[in-house]
Amino acid sequence: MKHDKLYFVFLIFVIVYFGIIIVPILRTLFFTSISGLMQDSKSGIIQSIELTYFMAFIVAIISVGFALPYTYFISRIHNSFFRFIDSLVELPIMIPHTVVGIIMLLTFEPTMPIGSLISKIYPDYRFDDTFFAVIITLFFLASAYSVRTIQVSYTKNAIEYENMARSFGYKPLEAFVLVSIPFMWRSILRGMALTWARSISEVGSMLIVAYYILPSFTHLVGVFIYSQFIGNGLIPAAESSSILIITGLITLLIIKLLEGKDAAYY
Amino acid sequence: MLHIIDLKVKRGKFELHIDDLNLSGRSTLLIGENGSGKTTLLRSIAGFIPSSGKIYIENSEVNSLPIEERGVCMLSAALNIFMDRSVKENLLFPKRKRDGIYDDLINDLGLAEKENLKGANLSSGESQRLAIGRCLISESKLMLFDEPFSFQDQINKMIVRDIIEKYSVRFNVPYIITTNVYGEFLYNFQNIVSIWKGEVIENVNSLDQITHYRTASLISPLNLIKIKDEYYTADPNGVTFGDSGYDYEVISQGVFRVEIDGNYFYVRTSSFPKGNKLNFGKLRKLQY
Repeated sequence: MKHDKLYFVFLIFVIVYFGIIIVPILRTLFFTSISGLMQDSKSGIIQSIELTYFMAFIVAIISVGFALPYTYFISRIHNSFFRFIDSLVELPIMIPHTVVGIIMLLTFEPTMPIGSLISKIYPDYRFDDTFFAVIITLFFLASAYSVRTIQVSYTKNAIEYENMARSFGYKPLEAFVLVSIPFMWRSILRGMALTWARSISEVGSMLIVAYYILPSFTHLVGVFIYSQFIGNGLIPAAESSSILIITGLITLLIIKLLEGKDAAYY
Repeated sequence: MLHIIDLKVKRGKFELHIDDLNLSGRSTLLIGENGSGKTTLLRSIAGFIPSSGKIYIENSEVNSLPIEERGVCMLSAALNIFMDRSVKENLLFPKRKRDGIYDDLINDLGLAEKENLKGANLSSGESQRLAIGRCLISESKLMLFDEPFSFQDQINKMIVRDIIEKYSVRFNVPYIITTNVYGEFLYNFQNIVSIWKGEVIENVNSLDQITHYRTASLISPLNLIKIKDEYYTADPNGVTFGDSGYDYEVISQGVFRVEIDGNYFYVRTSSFPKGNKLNFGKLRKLQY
């Protein structure tokens, strides 16, 4: 098929777009040597990546756990109050991340209203530098990606399919789990991947709520690389960045393979 | 079979209001212009949209029940076939289903050779028959079919009507069909309900009993005429030709276009045109 001029004009945009994304990544990867990477792998970056990936995975799972019922509920409500509430989902994305850290301290520190309530239930409760601080802060920042990705896939069509299933005797939860979730699984995976990736990249709020995480004193990877850059300069930070990028690319590739080809769901 | 009392549904500016509709026959044809409220009525009976009022199926009030407890299956215009599941899986999807009829049904639907194909690989007509079959195999107390002929060719329209009738008789389950396609396959309904602008304007037991212009015009616009703001249906056997009457022209064999008070009407008759004017003979006055 012969393409028109517009096709080639837009192709230039595509090439420039990928250039802007790929060139800095390649520059970082080629800046470091294999021996440098091997040496840097003993700096603690691997443990930091492991912990960060694990925490981000937990946040992604919790986000999907909330996104599914949220989507079910909000798709069936048509009043303006809930439409306003729905528009707040993206609010955490707009707030500067250091401000998010401060918001979290103001809310969950044991001396603050919510924190003091938790302290009454758990007398040994502390917030900063804990798993809880990391999970709740990352959830605040990254859950919107799961919510919106899943919400888009849960169309009016899905509700029609659920109605059809219910007319054949399935209960609402059965219809949702057996009919809608299989339709949405690619979106669920995509939402998880986005939340997971967003969580991994977080630095600003972590510097405030969890500079290191107790009891192992391990940094999340963003904080780890930032500390390396401040303490040891560009080269070790670039080596750790390369290790993070390589592991990230492998993980995203696995997710894409799991996702498979897009298909007509309905 | 079905009794609806004071049913109200509001959808934007449109309001459906069924004051009192009592259907005792097993087969019902629900007709009306586009946007008259046919689908809204079926969806409210199935519980897909909320409505006020009472709906009795087999003397049990169901409008207060959730969808899954009403025992009503509905073929939607969208069909809602699972594209990634086989014909067999689609057909056996209902949780409440009749045992021992799968082989008969898939043969009757003309889908036996395609039972292992995915839903995505079926034609529109086949998908529609599959969706109809899914309703027929379900253990329902009432079956609702919204436009079940829309994707069928002429022969399959007859087949679909026959299959629905066959399983309705076999299990004594009443059904309601809506359609915008009219033809021979619409004979022998025990109820014909006509709605217009969200209200029932006619409820009769056969095509011969239709007295409302809007109902008659939906079945066939032929032989419907308007003289001095009154609507009539002309008996095809009463039409004569001569030197007095109305101007006409031949459209095709046995079909004539007649001009009355500046409007054109179409008349079918077996009479042979011998003069330049057409007379209707006996006219039956219709409500409007």
